[in-house]
Amino acid sequence: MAMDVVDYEIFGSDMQYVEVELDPGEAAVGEAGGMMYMQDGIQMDTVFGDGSQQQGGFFSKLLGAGKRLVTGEGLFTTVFHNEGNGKRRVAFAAPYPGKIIPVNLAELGGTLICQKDSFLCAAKGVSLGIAFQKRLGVGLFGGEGFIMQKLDGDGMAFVHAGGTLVEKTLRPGEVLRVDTGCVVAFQPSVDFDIQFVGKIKSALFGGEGFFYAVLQGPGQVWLQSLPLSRLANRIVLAAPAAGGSSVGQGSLLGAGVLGGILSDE
Amino acid sequence: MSQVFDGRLFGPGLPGPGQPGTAEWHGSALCVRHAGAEHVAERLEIDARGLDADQIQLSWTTAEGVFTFSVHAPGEIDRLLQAAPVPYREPLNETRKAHSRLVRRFRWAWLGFGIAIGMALGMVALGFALLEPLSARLSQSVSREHESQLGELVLAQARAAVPITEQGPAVQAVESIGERLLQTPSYRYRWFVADSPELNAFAAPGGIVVVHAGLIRAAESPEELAGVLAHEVAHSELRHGLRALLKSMGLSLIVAALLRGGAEEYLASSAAKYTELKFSRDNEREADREAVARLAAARIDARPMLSMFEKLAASAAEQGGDPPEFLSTHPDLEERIASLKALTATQPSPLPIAMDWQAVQRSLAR
Repeated sequence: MAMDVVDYEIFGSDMQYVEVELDPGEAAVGEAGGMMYMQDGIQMDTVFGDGSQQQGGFFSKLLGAGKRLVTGEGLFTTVFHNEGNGKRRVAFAAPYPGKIIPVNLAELGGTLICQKDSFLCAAKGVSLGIAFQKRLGVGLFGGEGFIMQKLDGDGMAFVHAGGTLVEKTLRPGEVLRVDTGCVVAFQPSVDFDIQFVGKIKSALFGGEGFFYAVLQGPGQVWLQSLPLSRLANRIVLAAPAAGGSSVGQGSLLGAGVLGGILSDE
Repeated sequence: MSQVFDGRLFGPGLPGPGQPGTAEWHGSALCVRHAGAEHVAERLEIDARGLDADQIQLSWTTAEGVFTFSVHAPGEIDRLLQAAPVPYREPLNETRKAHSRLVRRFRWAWLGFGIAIGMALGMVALGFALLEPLSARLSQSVSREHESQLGELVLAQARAAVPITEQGPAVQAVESIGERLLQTPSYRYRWFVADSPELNAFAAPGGIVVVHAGLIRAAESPEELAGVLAHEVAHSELRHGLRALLKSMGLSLIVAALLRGGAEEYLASSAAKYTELKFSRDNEREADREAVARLAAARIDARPMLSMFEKLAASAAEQGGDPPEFLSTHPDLEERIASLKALTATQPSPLPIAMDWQAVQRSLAR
C-alpha cells in the first residue's frame, strides 16, 4: 500500500509535541485524544480500527478494532486528512513527560515492535497490530507484558515514551542488559529475552528486580530512561493526599521508601 | 537450481537497522548480495532469534567483524531450508524446533491458565450446587441438644431487638394451638410472643417458636393463627432453620464436611444472623405441605391459613416492605397459595378451636 510521506517537526524538550505537515490529499492517523491542534483545512475523521485497511471487509475491520482493544487503546482511530489546497499542519502531543521519536519504518524493514500505548501518530497506511510475546518468562517478568504493539508499513511513525529516549544500535551478537520496563521498541531482528540477575542478594537488595531484559543484536532498540509507572510511583509516594509523605527537598534521605520509613508522618 | 531468499543484512559498515539483501546457497557457502556488493560466507553460525524465535539468523565472522543475515518471512525461510547444505541442516532444523517449542509452550501455558480459571469457577459452582444436599446431610450430624443451644442463641439475639415474653394469655393460646399440631414433638417446644406490631413469626432451631403480637392482632380467628403456627412448626420439625444456618456458612460448610464434624463451632457464629436468613423455595414448599398435613391431623380447618397468607402478603405490599419471613420474597407466592388451595381442598371435617379469641387479642391491646 502506498504510504503518505509526511514532513514533521518536533517541538519542546521534555514535554514534546510533534507537528506533522500534510500535503493536499495526505493523511495521518493518530491515537484518539492525541491531537493537540490542527490548521484549517484538515478534516478529522474517526474510523473503526486503525485506518490501514481502506477497502477491507467489515470483519477485517472488526478484527483490527478488537486487537486495538487488547492493546488497551480505543476502538477507533482518528484520521486527519488535508482537504485544503496547500500544505497544512496537525500536531500531536505526548501524554506525559518524555520524548517523541520519529521512526522511519521503511529503514527498519517495515516492522517495529514497541510497548503497548507508546504509539502517538503515523502516516496513514501504517497498520497498528499486536504481537504476542510468546516467551513466557519475558511476558511475565520482562516488564512489557504479553502484548506488544506492532507497527507495519513503510512510512513514518511517532512513538512516545517516558524520560529520555535513547536509540541504540546493536551490532550482530552484541548484548545489552536493560532494566525491565525500560524497553520501548525494537526491530524484529533483535532478540528480547530475560535473565535472572544471578545472585539472590542482588535480586533482593540491588533494587533492580529479579530479572534483566536481555537484548541481543543485530538491530535497533529504543530505551526509555523513566517508565511512567516508576514516575507515578514516586509521585504517589511523595503525595500526602494519596497516602504518601511530603518529604523535604533538602533532606539527606529525602526520597522514596527509606525517607518514608524514617520521617514518621 | 539454487533458490534465492530475501532477508536483511547487518554488519560492520552497514546502517544500524540493517539493509535488505538476498542470499543463496553455493555448495556449503552462503552468497549474500546487497546494494551491488556480494559477500561469500562460510562457517556460519545459525541461531533462532527475534520475538518468537521465528527468525533464522546466519552469522559469520570476517576481518571487519561479525555479519548477520536475518531471514524472517515464512516463505523465505522455506526457500532457505530447501537448498541448505547438509552440514547446516541439523542446526537449521533446530531453529525451527526452537520456534515451534516456544509457540507450543505459550499455548500450553494459556491453556493451563484457562483450565485453572475454569476449575476455580467450576469449584465455586459445584460448591453452590452441593450446598443444599450438604447442608441436609450435615444437619443430621448436629445433635438435637446442640440445635436447642443454637436456638437459645438466636432467641437471645431476637430479644436484643424486641421484648419477648414467655407468659400471658397470648402465649398460652399460641402454646395450646401449637401443642395440638405436634403429635410426637422432636424437641421440648417453647412458645413466645414478641411485643412488636410486625405481622411476623419465626421458628428458631430446636423448637423455639416466636410469634409477633401484630400477627395475633391481625388474625381473625385462632384457625388463622394455627395456619401460621403449623408452617413454623413444620420448619422446626424439618430442621430447616438448622439447614439455613449451615448453608449460610457457605465455603466453611464444605470444609466442615470434609473434616467430618466441626460444623458446630462455626454454627454458633452464624446464629447471630439467623433472622436475616431465608429458607429456600423448596424448604418453603415442603413446610407448606407439612403444615397442611399437620392441620389435617389436628383436625384444624386449613382454609383460614390461605386467608391469613393473603392478608400478610397484602399488608406487606401496603407497607412497601418485604413480605414477612415465612412468606419470604419468593416470586411464586401466588403459586404457593394455589398449591395450598389444592392441598386444603380435600380436608376431613375440621373441628373448630375452642378458645376465647377476643380475650386473647384484648390481652395484647395497647
